[in-house]
Amino acid sequence: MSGSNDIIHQAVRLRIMASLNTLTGDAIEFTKLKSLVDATDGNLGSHLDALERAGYVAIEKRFAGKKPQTRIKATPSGRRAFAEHVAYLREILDQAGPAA
Amino acid sequence: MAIDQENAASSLNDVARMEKRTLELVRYSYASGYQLLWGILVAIGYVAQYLRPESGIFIWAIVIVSGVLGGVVFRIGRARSTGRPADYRWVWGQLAVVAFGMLWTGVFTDATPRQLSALWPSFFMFWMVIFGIFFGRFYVMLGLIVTALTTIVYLWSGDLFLPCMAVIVGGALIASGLYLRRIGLTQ
Repeated sequence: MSGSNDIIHQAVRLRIMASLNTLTGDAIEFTKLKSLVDATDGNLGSHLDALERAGYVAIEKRFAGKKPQTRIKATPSGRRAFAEHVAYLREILDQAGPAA
Repeated sequence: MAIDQENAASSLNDVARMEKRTLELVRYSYASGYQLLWGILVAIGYVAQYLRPESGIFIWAIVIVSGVLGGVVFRIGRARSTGRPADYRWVWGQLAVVAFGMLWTGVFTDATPRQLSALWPSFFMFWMVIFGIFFGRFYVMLGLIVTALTTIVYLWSGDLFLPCMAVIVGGALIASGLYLRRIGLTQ
């Protein structure tokens, strides 16, 4: 059995990675991700920092016209780590066996 | 960190919920283009029918063919942008609804143009509600609101029925398309 990924397993970070992993192509805007995972600006920012430091997400800052825009996408290693962590969670449930 | 079974189950539920919600927003983004297209076409159709009532069948044939062809163009564009093969089930679904509606339009020879102009959008909105039950409550609300407004306009708008339908059905589709474009996610 593979181990738990403590960086991803935190509740907000797990939701962030689940959402980013579902988006197979383009990046997602910070404001849309914020409403999707139900977090505040500061909360989301700190969790994204942690994920970026781990190399799980790439954060791009750019201008859309005159408005600054932050876009986030999962990196290949982030997708891999997320898939492994989800597999680990499933293994825990599988070990429990069918409910009596 | 040790994760017990309860925590693992709760986390997997969270993941499934996020995946579902994300896909819902991706679907909204794709649907926005269809809704804008159909909204514009339908509004033009009702106004054109109001101005040229004798050409109603011809006008709506153009509207329907344009809408379905537009759907094919959207599918091809989406396939190119995602690199995946085009999925034409949505187009087949539209054609099935159109064929069903045309069958009963042909059978109901006693129906007036006004009755048919109320029946068609109600029929489309019925399928919108069914679609929404599976893919997002936004469509349920849209279908119910447009059907309710169509009924009200049919009963009480008098001679301004067709312009009112242009505003209600066309306007609702355009407004909802713009809203979905704002909240949706591209993939």
